[in-house]
Amino acid sequence: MHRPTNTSVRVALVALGLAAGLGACGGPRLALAPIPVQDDDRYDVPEPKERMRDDYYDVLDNTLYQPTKSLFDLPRGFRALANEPKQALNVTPLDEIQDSSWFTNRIGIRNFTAAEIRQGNNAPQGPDLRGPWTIVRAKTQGVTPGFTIEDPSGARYVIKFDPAMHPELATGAEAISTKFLWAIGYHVPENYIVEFDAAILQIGSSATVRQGDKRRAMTRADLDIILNKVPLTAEGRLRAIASRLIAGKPVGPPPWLGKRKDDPNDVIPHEHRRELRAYRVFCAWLHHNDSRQINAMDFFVNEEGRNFIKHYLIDFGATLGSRSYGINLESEGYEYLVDFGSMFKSLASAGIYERPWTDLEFPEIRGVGRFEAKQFDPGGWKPDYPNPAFERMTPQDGFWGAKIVMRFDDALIRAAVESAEFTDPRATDYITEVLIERRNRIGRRWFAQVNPLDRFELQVAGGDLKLRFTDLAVQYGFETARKYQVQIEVPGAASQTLVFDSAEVPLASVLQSMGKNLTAGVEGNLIRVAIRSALPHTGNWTPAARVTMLRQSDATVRIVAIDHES
Amino acid sequence: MGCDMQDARQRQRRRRFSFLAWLCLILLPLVGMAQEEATPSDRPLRDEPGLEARRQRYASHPAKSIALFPVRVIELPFQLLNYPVEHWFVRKRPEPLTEKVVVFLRAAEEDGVSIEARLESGHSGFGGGVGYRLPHSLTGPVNLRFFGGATNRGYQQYFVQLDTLRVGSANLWLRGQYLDLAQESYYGPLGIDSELDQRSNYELQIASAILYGEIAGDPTFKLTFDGGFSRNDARPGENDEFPTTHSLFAGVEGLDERLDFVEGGLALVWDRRDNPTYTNRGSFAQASVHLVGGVGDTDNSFAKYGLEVRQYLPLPGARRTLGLRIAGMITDNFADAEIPFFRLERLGGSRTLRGVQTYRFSDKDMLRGGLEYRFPFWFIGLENGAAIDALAFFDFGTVMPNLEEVTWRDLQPTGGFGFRIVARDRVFVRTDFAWSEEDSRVHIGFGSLH
Repeated sequence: MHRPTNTSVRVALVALGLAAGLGACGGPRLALAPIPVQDDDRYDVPEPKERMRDDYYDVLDNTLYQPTKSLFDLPRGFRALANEPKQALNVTPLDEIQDSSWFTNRIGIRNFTAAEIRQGNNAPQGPDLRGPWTIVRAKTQGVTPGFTIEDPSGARYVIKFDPAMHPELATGAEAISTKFLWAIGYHVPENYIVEFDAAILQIGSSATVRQGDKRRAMTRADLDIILNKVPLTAEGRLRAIASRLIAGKPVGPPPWLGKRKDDPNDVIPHEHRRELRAYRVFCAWLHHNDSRQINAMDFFVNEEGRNFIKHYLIDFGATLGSRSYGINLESEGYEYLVDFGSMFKSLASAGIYERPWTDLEFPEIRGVGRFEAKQFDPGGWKPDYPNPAFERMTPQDGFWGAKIVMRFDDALIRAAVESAEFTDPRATDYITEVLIERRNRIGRRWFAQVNPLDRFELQVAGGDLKLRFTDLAVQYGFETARKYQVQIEVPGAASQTLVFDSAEVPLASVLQSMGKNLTAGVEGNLIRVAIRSALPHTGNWTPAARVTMLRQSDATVRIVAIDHES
Repeated sequence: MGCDMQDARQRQRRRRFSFLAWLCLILLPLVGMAQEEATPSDRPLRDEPGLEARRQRYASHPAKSIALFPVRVIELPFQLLNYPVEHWFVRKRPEPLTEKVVVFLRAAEEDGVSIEARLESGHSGFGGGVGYRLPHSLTGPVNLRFFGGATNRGYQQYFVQLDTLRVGSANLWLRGQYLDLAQESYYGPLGIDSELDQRSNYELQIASAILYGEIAGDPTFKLTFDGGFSRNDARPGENDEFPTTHSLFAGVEGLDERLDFVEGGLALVWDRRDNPTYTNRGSFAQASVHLVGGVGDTDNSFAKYGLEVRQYLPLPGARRTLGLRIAGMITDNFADAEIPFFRLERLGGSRTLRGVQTYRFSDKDMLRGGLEYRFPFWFIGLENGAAIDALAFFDFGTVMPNLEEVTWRDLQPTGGFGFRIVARDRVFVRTDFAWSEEDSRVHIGFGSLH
């Protein structure tokens, strides 16, 4: 008897099984050879066309279309059901990322001084304030008018001002966030706080402004339109951000989802890049809800004789409670522009649902926007729309981001805030305090999602080979000193579980007690250690941090894989 | 025979499935190709053997692609839907038309000319006008406004208005207006027992010259007044779906002759609302009297006495308000003079009883009230506090020949929910979904309702 329905069901089951199997296959990767510092994503490639992205469409796409489409992403749905989200693809076996055309490890791998943070990626000298500054292009329309100048040295800068009613707000935010994002590791433009006399401005012969859909020669009246909207300093000068034009040719913003198909180097879908997923952690810290596609830009650059696309983050005037042309709305950071969840809660509760941000209070200090820490929830923080990369962030990505955020101690944070050169010292104090509190909340949140052990290293001490690590929750004061449950597996021996009071495992001694040693055995050469930290307040243990070590023929051991369970 | 037909159906189903499968197979690569956002230039690549190795390192396994084929098929409609939208936006960026309009309006305003554009709620129409600012030595600058508007249902409005004349502590507006209400509804008989299927329609043309004014005592109290002349012509309506009032209710007062009135009114207004265009707290009360006297061949004279009270109670939390209102109107027809049917009190529609048809009930006296609970639904995230509020409401009301005869059973209940688009502390658009025992209605309108 012919029963096509059964056949269809079988085909579907086989397909699902195949998909699930493929998703599940593959064991931990091992760093059998030293991992290069630099990812090989800078091969010489042809120049791409500029990628256009309409801002309104971008919001529409990520607010409506992508979330709807993702409902039908069955593999992702299955992984979510199994609590096995797809991990970032550019993570090394040691749970870190390499330097790349997207990111350069900075504060994550070395200590910074306050002076270095204050300087950031800026050159010792910014634009020559003596002038003259020749305006080569201007934007008189829109909410953020400004212009591009060329200083006497020939360097070009985009000049961006504060909103008329909020002096020092956008310029301060841009200066501070640039310092942080650069120190974290992103590629950002050089942004200088400048105060200058309007008299040094002169209109270049080639300067144009846009009128309708055409451009025409710029006039003094156009310049007056721009300057009339700019708040003056007490000395009657103009304060601005001078953003040096990035070397290379702008070729449009990178998509948050998928790859640039015109970039042969771009082989990892962007939503699966750890630095873009964890960008959510940094955006939450800096309240960068405007982290939309248009605020990233690809540049086709030539470095060391090779042409390739380098990815930059730009425009940080809408951070720290600023909106570039005003202060943030109260809802920003707490709700998407179109937040169906909040709408549903509102309707379902007949209006009883109270949004958490409605009663927030903000100080009225020159240079300070709607930026606070009391209601800040690092896990619940939201950008303007559901960013596909942010949505795919796993606890492991969050932990990686939080590690970096926690590397900024109080002094470094203050140094970055001081670079805004606020006239009111209360602004510096307030923003510093809020950033410190938000930093701590980020640490508490993401360190609680995994076992926050880091800096694993093997050291010989007291005649024993010890696996030492740092418990970041203890180091930063989120937990008191605690016990560690360590499970060790060696081929050819029964696994052993021990509890230690300190953050070190006497590896050689334990192996000896298991009848093994540090020399590679015939059964296999890997040592697997799973460490769980005690949670005193619940009596439970955290998920495991797993370290895989390789026993080599010369009786030396090295770490080849690190993995944090969630 | 039955088996043959069954086989034929199965074959047909297989053919359809096969066709769809092939269509998907063909379209999928096309969609993929269409999504290629740019093509590389023809400059040859440097010999980069590592590039291919890198690509292979991250390449998806072919088996995975096959396994995910059903997912791609599910995504296909989304891709097809998205493609034209994205490419329209990306390639044809909307021109800054609004900027041009703003520049034009500002220039006109500097020259003393104001341009007015207005959407007509309820009748799907629009109107436009122009105003001139005139200097005047006694009153200060006044505006001379010309306005004309029409809707797709044939409604028309034209007026010339002089505003605002300041005489002492009074503000005055003088308006000459022609109004053509092409498809008004009248249900018979009078009273709350009128039948839904007894709907008729008529056209009412009104030409008037009215002086409006107000004297404000303090911010919460003012006296408003108006007076002037109006000419009223009721004609057969233009809506072919319903019989005309002339055919269904021949003999109704005001149907067959032109009516000319001299009329005037007075109202005492006590307003303690925090914001009249988007109220969250406060009270409002108004007592009014309106006298209408027939002139020429018109012998209908009557007076209307009205009272309206509204109270807005802020509830705990942001932007939550409970609004209560009650209003009544009594018509006094002097010496039992007949009242033209179009000057009776009418109930029903977007501003009174939202769950029934517009002007569903009519009679001499009217009593209505309502309760409205408003709460925040969506903070849109634009500047100027743009937001959408949701609301639940309950309206009730009745009409009767004599207010003393009203009983609770006469009060027609309707209820529903709605949304308000708010910006700059002003309700811009309102949408109500309302139900009653006999009908359900959707209302879309502009401006605040209460």
